[in-house]
Amino acid sequence: MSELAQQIVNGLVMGGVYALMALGLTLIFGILDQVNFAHGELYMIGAYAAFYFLDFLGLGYFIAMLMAMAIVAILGLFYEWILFRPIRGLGHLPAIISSLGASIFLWNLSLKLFGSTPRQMRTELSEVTLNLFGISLTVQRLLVICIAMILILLLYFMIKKTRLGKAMRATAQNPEMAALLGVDINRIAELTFLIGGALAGAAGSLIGPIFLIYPAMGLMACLKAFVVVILGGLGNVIGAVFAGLSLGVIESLGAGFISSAYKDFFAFIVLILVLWARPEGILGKTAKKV
Amino acid sequence: MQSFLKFSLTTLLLLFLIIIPLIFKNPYFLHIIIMAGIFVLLASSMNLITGCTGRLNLGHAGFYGLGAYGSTLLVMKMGFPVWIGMLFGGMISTLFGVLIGVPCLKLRGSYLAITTLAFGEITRLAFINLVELTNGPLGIREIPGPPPLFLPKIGLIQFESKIVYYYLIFFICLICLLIIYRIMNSQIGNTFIAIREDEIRAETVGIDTIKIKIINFALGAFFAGIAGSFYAHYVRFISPDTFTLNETFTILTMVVIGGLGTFWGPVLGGVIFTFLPELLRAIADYRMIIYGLLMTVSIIFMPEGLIGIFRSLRTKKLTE
Amino acid sequence: MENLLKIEALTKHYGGLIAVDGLELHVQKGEVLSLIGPNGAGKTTTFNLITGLEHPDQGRILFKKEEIVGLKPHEIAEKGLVRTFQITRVFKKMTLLENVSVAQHMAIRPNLWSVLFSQSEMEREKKGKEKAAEMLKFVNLYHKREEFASNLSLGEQKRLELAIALSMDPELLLLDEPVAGMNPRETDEIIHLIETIRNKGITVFLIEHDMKMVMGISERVIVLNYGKKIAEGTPEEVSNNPAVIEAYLGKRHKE
Repeated sequence: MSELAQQIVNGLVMGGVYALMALGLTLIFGILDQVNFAHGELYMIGAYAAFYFLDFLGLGYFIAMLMAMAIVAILGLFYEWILFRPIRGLGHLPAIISSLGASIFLWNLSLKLFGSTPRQMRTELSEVTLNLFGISLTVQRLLVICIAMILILLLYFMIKKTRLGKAMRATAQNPEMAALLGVDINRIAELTFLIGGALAGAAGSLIGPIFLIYPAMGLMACLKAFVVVILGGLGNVIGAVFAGLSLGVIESLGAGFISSAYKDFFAFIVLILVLWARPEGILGKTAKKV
Repeated sequence: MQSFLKFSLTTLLLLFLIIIPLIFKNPYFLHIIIMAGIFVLLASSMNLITGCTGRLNLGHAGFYGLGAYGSTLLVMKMGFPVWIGMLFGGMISTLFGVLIGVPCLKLRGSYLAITTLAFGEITRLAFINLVELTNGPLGIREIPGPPPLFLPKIGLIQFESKIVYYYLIFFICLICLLIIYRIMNSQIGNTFIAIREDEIRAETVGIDTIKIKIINFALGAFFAGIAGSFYAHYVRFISPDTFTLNETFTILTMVVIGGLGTFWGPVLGGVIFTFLPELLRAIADYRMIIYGLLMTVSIIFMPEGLIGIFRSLRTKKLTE
Repeated sequence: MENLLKIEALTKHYGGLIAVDGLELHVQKGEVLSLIGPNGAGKTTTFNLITGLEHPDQGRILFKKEEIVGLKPHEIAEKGLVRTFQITRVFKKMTLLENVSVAQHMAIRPNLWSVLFSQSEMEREKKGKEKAAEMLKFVNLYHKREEFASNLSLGEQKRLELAIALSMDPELLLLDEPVAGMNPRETDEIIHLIETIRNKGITVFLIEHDMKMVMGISERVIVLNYGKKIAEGTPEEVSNNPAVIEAYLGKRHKE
């Protein structure tokens, strides 16, 4: 029984990271109707940034994470300016190709700059193990869950309660109407990418000490984030959180009880099964307008 | 007047291609051209799916690999003659094209991209993990080439030298590209574009979009599979490393920069991006970095690709 | 007079919202029937249900006495039931000629083998192009046949939609707001075209807000409100019907 609980908790840790990644993606899709294939690179750069701040500048972990979030947020801004604004409104394919090109560019650039040898991010927190209710957890992992929850709550609060959040929701529902009401879509786009970047940067910094850091980590993370977004419904913030946590748990249980070699496959299998049954995702948006 | 110009230019091009190996005998150069031929096929086949019909297929290297492994296994494990094996390699790829195409029918845009990417990766992982069948990461070596062919007036042709392989791929490309050209300009080709522009509208003008989308995937898979089969019996060694995501990205770059949805675009892209890495040997490490950059820049600033630029230059000339 | 189209107890809701509520109507062969009603009354939804783009929750739709609910849009088009769209949906990156030629799909019936090897396929494609040219001439767009559809003005796009629909040899033509957003001159052109179409024996079923057009061209009018039919009759009968006046005045709507 405690084996099961252990797997579930481990799954929630990964799930929190997936949720953070997927939130950025789903916001970009919901509000701007554009697909960001380079989202995984934000995560990867966040991890490397935190690593360098920690390792080379000797900063504390939290400072390193905050700075990494800031850097990736700014990178997100550049995404908006360079990759997405010039082709806004031209349909999905150009955005996919544009961001795909950026993904290939950033991934291979990182390969060149950082080398393919995986790095290990060491913090004191990953050394200390707690034992709660028969479940063993490093402090780092506990931190992932806590910080992920905090960020998600902050985001939720921002979207539901602030004026900016209202503007974002209005743009997501009906961009033309929002524009008529005085919402500047370029500002909203910038904000969306700043937030998406910050969340991805946080995800990367949080995962760094738990697993290894390497340039290709963005690819798999991006794929999984997409799976989560599709499962939770494009543009559905709450869906992204639940689907992210669920995927983390499913993977963990699958790796623990079925096979850990094929861990990454579970995401794909779940995706294919869900898409076959319900092409709009489990909690998808309502049927498209004709 | 214009079509006469096109026709004569094409004929000149064909003549040039026929006499190339008689002028440039360097085997390494010939190898590059042969690879260019393979990539022209790969790019053209991806163009059918992604360019004409607007459905991004990020698993295309999988079709390439299925053709290669399919043909190789049929020949080496089941004793098929090489020519039959090559054709059937293409068909195995087509089969998978349909198998993958069906669940993807309802998917669009990024859903489709992710799912096809997943299929491509799953295929590659299958090549790596089904060791009894594929020999895993070590790959399959000593794949036989085609048997000697007797041609009247020429005699017996052995498939050993690069020159012979060059003419083979030239011939294969010629046939395949003719077929692709005809399809693109036919009613079916128009339905591809209609589905890309507005799938629902296409349904309401009487197009069975499901059937057409499956045909489309099958065609793209077939030609990629043929390219794979040829590759296997030319290089005579295949391994999962050849059929990676990077390969798909490279092919996509060729199509995007050449010109999505055009006929000559992928041909141009295929040639350019096979020769370019050779010319830029010094910066080979930066190849993918440059491709990524080019892909993004291209879709933003020249969405119709190089062919689009030629066209607009030409129409400008006509109106001046 | 024979009923070309018959709708019985048609119902469609979205979540808690009822779009079409037990609708009953019929379209007689050869007539021009207009469907009017305030915005949100369910008119376009009805068209979507008829043409297979959406599926009803309940009810039957019979075209030439055959049940067509559950058929795919292209199958319905093949039976001779063709529509245009309120917000024009032409194929933007194709020329006008290509736009209409592609609609010849049902007549040409291409498949891979025939496309590559059959001589008669090429003949049919050629005929398809000729027919497309004819249709463009009919709607007065032949001179723009090599231009991209994205370059057309709104009025021209609506005419292109008409050409596309006509080229499919419809028996019943569903026109969704054919003159929306047009100036009087363009509206008159369309009215003239519709009359010519009617004279060729094609049944026309249209949705419109332009009352002058509706009253001028229709033989019969059906009024929808909240997804239900509230009135039916000749234009005069309907315009004097108190329930209809109530529906239009009681609700603010865009003209």
